[in-house]
Amino acid sequence: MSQLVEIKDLHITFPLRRGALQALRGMSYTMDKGEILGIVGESGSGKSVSVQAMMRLLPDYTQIEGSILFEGEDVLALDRKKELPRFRSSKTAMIFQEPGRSFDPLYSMEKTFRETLRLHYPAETDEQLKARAVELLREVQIPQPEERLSSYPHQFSGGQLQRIMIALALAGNPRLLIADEPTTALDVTIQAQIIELLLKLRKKRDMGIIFISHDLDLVARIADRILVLYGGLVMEEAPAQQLYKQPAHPYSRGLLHALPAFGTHYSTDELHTIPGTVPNPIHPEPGCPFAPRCSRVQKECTEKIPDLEALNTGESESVKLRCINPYKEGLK
Amino acid sequence: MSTACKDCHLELKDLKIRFPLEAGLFARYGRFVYAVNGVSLHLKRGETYGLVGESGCGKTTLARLAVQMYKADGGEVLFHGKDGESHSLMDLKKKELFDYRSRVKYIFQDPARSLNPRMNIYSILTAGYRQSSAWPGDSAARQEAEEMMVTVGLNPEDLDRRPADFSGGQRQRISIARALIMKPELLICDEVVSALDVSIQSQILNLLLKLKDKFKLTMLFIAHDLTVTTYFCDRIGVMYRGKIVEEAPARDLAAKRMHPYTNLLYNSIPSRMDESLETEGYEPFDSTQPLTGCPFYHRCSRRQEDCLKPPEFREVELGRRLACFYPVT
Repeated sequence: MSQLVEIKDLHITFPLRRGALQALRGMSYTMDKGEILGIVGESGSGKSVSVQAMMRLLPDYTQIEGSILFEGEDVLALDRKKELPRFRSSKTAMIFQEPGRSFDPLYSMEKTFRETLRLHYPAETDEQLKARAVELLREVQIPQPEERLSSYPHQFSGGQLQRIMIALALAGNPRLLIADEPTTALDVTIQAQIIELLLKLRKKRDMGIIFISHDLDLVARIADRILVLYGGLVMEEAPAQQLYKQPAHPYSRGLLHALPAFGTHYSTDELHTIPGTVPNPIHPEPGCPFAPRCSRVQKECTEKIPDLEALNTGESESVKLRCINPYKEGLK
Repeated sequence: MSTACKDCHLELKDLKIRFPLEAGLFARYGRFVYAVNGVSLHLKRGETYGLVGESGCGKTTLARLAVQMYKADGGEVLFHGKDGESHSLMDLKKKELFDYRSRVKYIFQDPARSLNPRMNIYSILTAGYRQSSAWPGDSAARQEAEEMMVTVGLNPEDLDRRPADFSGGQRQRISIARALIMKPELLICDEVVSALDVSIQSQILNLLLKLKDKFKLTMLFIAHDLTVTTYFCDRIGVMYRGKIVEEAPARDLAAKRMHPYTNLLYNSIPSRMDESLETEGYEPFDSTQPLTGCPFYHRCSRRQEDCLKPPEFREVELGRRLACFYPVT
């Protein structure tokens, strides 16, 4: 398979008056064409910042080190005026957490689509663009797309708006769709619909997806491979099912255990917790960021950050782990 | 005053409320949002009752009706206090309502927005307490506040700090402390863990379980997540479009779901999802229309013509009530 994204040793720091906020402290991964990569982490883990850097959405004062290659092209070197708009609209696209806040309330859907589609098809007439919009809405399974084009954002439900966001994102035939917590604000039944829709679209268009969420259960459902982020560092990288059944890092395992399994009940089953809170990104302690909360902590853990190393699992697919004392056995 | 069940703590009887869609002078003539369309349920003493449903189904409105934040258009709220007295909330005078609200406390979803950023934690904890007849005076209250901080897992020395100094999980602990300091009998938890990180969510759930035992609390727990609710609650009511469509003990509901909507919720749990799920977008229900038939009619895959008439909410097996003509199992 060929590579779509290659990120090497990405450091992102925000110089604040209180000190330097280290949002990412060295992230590396590669992603293949048509792959769904899940990025899991809690608030402040750096998961959103990592994709915002790829879309060059971070403010100018941000210090970015490392490299981001997209189909071999150096994203950080793209010219802001000449190259960036084309990269953002036709190679990549992004959908966000709150679809309701991402639309202009005074634009009808037709106008919204026309504006986006015109960028990609400057020579076409309004009629032709409208036909394309209808086609896109049909692809994301909005009922009666012709009629709905004249509606305004407030006339749609949250789930429908997220579908329309996806349709807009597809307008430029992106190679990569970045979905940053796209279902967090939606109801569970609608969330399930959006997940199935994304899986269908990936298959049909052979489009890569980066799916960001705090919900490991959900990411395991959609992703091929998962990165677990904590304190700006990749803690574990593994194929989704492997990570779900046999999380090796104490943090990954803690995250899975912290969600009650369906069918368990407080009267008979204990709910595991991870004690403590997330680390301070301004003055991080030396050593593994998870060490203060970890039940398997060793003396060395608090002295030096362990390396992210490939684990020999005996299987063909690779697992990378940043831990000197991981779990070796599967769950239950 | 009523013939109600013996160990009931709170009874909601056929509650209804609609909100005018237009404000001001035209409100009377305008259209309405039918938020709660006749809900009856009861909370037994010491029990945790879970309300599950998606946004707009009326679960928060129902909880607010239980503390008279809104005045119901119809129905009744009965409270059977610790002291053996029973009250109908509709008859309470202002002073009595105030007293009632110190016995039934409400915890909100978003701790960041429900704590006044300009007050220190001590003032936040005691703001309501100070107004009540049980107010013990500042020095005694200070000591109680310190004890309460320890109870919810915070440092008592932090009483003089402000909400901004705390993380989301810690703020939710403060909200809980504020509710408990007046020694309530009943706690209404409205999506208290939804805004929190996964690892913090489990800390708060465990804390609530501990406090429930310690203070012998009855709880109404509102959530949209079936997994968390079936774990945390004793009995569960599933709401859709202002109606309870199924009610059962949590373990029974986890084992078997009879209403098609409950089943859809179950199949939407991430680890259960598969390709068989509907991916087609549907038209959300129009809550400005008065409810006539089954609330789930427009989305249901099992609907028949008679579902246009309202199904009766009746006991179908021990402890399970259901409103459906064509249940799943």
